[in-house]
Formats: sequence, structure tokens, C-alpha cells
Amino acid sequence: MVNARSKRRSYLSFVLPAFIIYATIMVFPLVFTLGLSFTKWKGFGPIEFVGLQNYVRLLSDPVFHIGLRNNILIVLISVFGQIPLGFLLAYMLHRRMVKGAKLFEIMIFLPITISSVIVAQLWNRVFAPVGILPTIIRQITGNQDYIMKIFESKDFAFVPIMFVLLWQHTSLYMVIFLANLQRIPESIIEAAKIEGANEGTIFLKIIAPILAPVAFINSILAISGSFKSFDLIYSMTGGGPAHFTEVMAVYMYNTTFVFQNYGYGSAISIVIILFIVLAIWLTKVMTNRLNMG
Amino acid sequence: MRSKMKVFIIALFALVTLGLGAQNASSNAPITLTVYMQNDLANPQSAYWPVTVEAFQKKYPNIKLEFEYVSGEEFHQKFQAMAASGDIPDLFTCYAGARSGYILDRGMVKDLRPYLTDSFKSQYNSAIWQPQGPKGEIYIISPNMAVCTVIYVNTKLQKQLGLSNPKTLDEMIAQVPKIRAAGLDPLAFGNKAQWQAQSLLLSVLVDRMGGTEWFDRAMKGTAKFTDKPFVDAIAVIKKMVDAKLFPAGVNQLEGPQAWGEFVQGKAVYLLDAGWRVSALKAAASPSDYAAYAAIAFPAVEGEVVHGSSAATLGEALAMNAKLSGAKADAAWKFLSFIYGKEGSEILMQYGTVPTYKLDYSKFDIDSLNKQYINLINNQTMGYVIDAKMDSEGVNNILNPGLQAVMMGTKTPAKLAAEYEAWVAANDSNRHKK
Repeated sequence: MVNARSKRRSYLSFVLPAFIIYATIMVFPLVFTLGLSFTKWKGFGPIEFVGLQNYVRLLSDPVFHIGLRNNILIVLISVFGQIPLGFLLAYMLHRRMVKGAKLFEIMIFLPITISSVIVAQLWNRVFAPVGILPTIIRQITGNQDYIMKIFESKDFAFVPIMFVLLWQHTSLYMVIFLANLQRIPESIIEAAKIEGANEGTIFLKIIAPILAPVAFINSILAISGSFKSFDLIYSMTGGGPAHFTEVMAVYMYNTTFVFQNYGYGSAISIVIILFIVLAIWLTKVMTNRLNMG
Repeated sequence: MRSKMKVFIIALFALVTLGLGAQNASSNAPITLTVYMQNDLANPQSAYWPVTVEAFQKKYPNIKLEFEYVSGEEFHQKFQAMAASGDIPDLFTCYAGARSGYILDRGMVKDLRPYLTDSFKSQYNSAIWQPQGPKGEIYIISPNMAVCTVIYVNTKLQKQLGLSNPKTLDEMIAQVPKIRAAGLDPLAFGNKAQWQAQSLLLSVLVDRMGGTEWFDRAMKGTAKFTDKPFVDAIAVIKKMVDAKLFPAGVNQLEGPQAWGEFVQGKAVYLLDAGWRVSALKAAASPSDYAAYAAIAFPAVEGEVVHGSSAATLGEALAMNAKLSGAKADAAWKFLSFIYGKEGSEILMQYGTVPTYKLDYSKFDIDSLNKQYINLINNQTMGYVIDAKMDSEGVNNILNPGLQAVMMGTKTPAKLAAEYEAWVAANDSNRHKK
């Protein structure tokens, strides 16, 4: 009896502090945000309960729709751009397919070490009407009015941002793949070669199966990171021009803290969380099916 | 009995004397004021502030000031949390409008009217005594007016091209082919941050087209933002874009990049705010700076107000409504010093034209500043839209909508209709109880 009580105490003494911290910084804000999403509140004064009004507004809010579309584009460029490219680069470096692998490793890894705000400023100085790229093109073409019109296109203004995201974040996945590739014993590859396996067979039969769980983890990182995308876009375009490069997190931030519409901002936050959970669940289902297949 | 009475009187006298002494001692006792200020001391434009505080401390050594400086949006975020807890400092930065709604609506800011005598008020530009609260309250003594629309002219380039100051917008547009043929931009302007087209351009155009009376009615709902003055004002911006007055990619250009182009001699005119003067002085060579001029935005076809600009009151320190007695007196001494003659002279020395009326002949004012002072002293001031209307409607509908109009993806009438719909449904000006 005493032993059981003592065990429970020990258990609680280990678990409770972590649980309290988790509840304080994760559960409470989440529940509070969920509660606020059913209200109209300016951040001060009386809180007015409005039921599902904020969620209904989301359905017909064109700015939110642009944000959602752009977030989905980030997920696509992350999962189908950054991860495969990261893997390709890691594979090439690991299999020593290029000379000076270490140099390339450092070069590719560098962007992820730079603050997103600095990356945004850097690329702004490339793309801006007075930036390097339009200036060079003006010199070459003689067209003094040349600017990067793509930034003023409702459909394509987000493409340059996707390019910068690809440039900045691919290295993270490359490093994760590279670290896992380095864990594969060289003897297995050598044995496969002695058995007559070519590069394609080694990749399909040895490397790909070993790295499948890593790809899954990378996908989760990519998806959750994609829906949270904020710093680079906020610094690079602030969602403009005319909301063309809006993403949900930037819209949520502006709605909540700039427009002081805490209720609607909270509803956007809850939808972001739901999208993250849904996307990760879908990834898990698809990975399980692929593994079973 | 008499001796007892004597003892009683002496004792009473001693008590009163001691009491008065104690009271005297307390009035001379140091008073500490906490000050929460939106200020970035690393910004060169804040250089005047430590000098002002030092001068105040020299004059009033018994008033101790405990500062907390926070800049940008973080200032408001932290202050909102303080306001929610009901515990705010003795003095704090306050805006005369919706931006400080979280403290103004809670009645946390002291109405300064009891301190403001007619002779005190007469020392300032009268524009700062417009009511700041629903019952005519005055919360701040704004040290400077943020004049949002000035046209800066590079007279050197103007002379080289044989041009003169345009009196009308059409005259300015007529200069475009000649300026563009010289490989220059006619009117440097950047609107990447979205607020510029509204604060620096639409505000003055709305004033020209409708005046402040029309705007007051639109705020209340007796006029609408779909009315002719507002739609016409937006249409003027589109006309300016179509006439190629602005640099290519104006909505991709940051403000500093735009005035940077002007300083580099790549544009004949610059559309910017009055507060840009000191930055131009710091960035341009002395000979180039000496050739800059400041003029009013040219006349627009159909305008009902002539030669105006748009201005809003700059933010200032305000007093906690709970302050009373010696603390309130000390706080008033501080405010009337920093925004009075002494503080305003320091401000002027650092290149900002104060709202306090100074004898400008005492100061070594450069040519551009002289022109600027003359200009704004002879202009009526319209409203700056984002200082009057709710932030969400302005920042979420109007500002991006103006970019869309400029890029040709929305018509002025459609933007006006969208903005009116939002204002009618949500703006606090239309829903005042």
C-alpha cells in the first residue's frame, strides 16, 4: 500500500512540473484562443459572445482565402520542393558525386543560418525596382521602366517568395538527410556492390527504405513550418501588394495585434492549428499506406 | 489656570509649527514619476530627447524620472497588457485618437483642460487644441504636427530641364515627357508599405475634393465614402499612375528607396511628409540640399479646398488620470517644460518645427526648413484618414485597395464601395453610443 502511494508520489513529482509548464504555455493559451474565437473583443473592454460569426466570416473573407492558397503553395514547395531537393543534394554530397563536397555543404547550409529578416532584406535588394536584378536587366535591354512585374500579379506574386523559401530552407532537410545517410554502414553498400547492385538498386533497395521515416519527419517539419510561415513574408512583402502575398499567419497577426480584432484573429489561429493537424494526419496516413504497399 | 493656558498655547504653537515644518519638508521631498515612452533612443531623430530631459532635471532636481523606453508596435502590446491590469505609469506616450483607444476608452488618461489657461493655449498653434475626446477633452499637448503632404523640388534639375513649379496637377503631368526623356522620374514616391498612398496622398486629395466638413459627415454616416469627393480623390491617384508621374513599380518601392532616388538626383520632385526634411538634410550633399524647395501639392481639377495639406497631431506624453496632489503638479511641471518654451527650443535646434510658437529669427534655419515653415503656416490642414478612421478598415481594405487601384486590378468606385461597406458595418465612428 505504502509502496503504491510512494510510487504515485514519485510519478507525480516527475510528471507534475512538466505538466504544469505544458498546461501553462500550451494548453491554457490554446483553450483561451479557442474561447476568444467565439467573441468580439478589442483586447480591452467588454467581451461580446458572437457564436460562430468569426468562422462564418472566414468563409467569405477574400484575404483569408488568398492567405490559405499561399499557405498551401508553401506546403507544396516545402514537401515537393525542399524535401526532394534536400535529399538530392544530400545524396550527391554523401555519394561524393561532386568534387569539393565540404565546400558545397557549407554553401548550401549557409542560408538557414541567416535570420529570415536579413534574408528578406537581402532578396528585397535583389528584386526591388532599384535592386540589382532589375537594374542589370534595364542595362541589358535598355528598357528604363523595367521592373519585376511578377510582384504585381495576383496569381504569381507569391512565386518569388516560394523561390526564396526554397533557397533558404532546403538546406535544413539536406542536413537531416545527410546525417541519416552517414549512419548507413558503408559495409552494406560495399556488400551490395559486390553482389552486383548498381547505383539505382542501392538507392531503391537500401537507402530509400532506411530514409523513409526520415522523410516522414521532414514532411511533418515542413508542413507545420509552412502553416506557421511568418517572419520571411512579413519582412519581405508584409502580405502586399494588395494582399497578393498574404499568408494566414501574417493575416492573423495583423488582425489581432494591429487591427485589435482579437476574436477574429483567434478564429484564424484555430483554423491554422486545424490545418496543421489535418495535414500531418494526412501525411501519416499516406506514409503508412506507402509503407504497407 | 493661566499658567495651564500658557502651557496649552505653547504646546499648540509647537505642534502647529512642527506640522507646518513637516508639510514644508514633504513639499520639498523628491517626487518620482514613472514614464513609459514610445521612443527609440538609437534613432538619430530622438537625439533631442536626452538633452530635453537633462535640461528639465537641471531645473527641477527634486523630480525624479524613471523611464522605460519601448519602440514600435511592442510599445502598444505591452501597454495594452498594463491597461488590462489597471496599473499604468504616471506618464506615458499617448495618441490623440484610436491608436490609444485602449487607455482613452477606459478613462485612464487625465483631461488636461483644467491646466490649460487661455494665455497658455495662445502660445501654441491653435490646430492642436481641437477636441481629442468625446466631451472635448484634451489629453496631450502635441509638440509637433505630422504634416503628411509636401512636394519637395530639386530646383537644380528643374532649371536644367527648363521647368518651373507646377501650379496644377495637369501642369505637373505635362512635364512628364520632358523629365522622362532626360532619364529621370518625375515624382519620387514609394508605396510598398501601403500606408503612404493613403496618408500622404489620398488624405490631402479627399480634403481638396470634399474638405473636413464632408469628412466629418462621412465619419458620422450622414455622407458616404461612395460619394463623389472620395471616389474622385481615388481617381486622381489612378490618373497620376497612368500619367507615369511615379517611378515604375511604385508599389514595390520602399519609402526610403523613393526619397533615396530623389537625393541621388534621379527625380525632379518628391512626394513625402513634412518630417522628411531632417532626413533629406542628413542624406544630401550641402549644395544639393540648398537647392531643394518645398511647395504645396498642386491644385487638382474639381477641388473645393485650395492649397491644403493633411496633418495629424504627433503623439505626446499624457498623464495618468489617477494622479493628484504633488505628483500631478510634478507631472504638469514636466509636461509644460518639455512641450513649453524650453523643450520646444531644444526640439527646434534638432530640426523639428514645434507647435509652440517660437521666434524663428533666433534660430539658424536652413532654406528648406524656412520654406517648409512658411508653407505649413499658410496652409489649412485636412484630416489624415488613418488618424480618424478605424485601423482595420484603413489597413485591411483601403490601403491594399489603393494599391490594387494603382495596379489596375480595382476601380476607384469599387474600392470606395468596399470601404463604405466596411465602415458602415464596423467603424467605431459610425457606431458611437
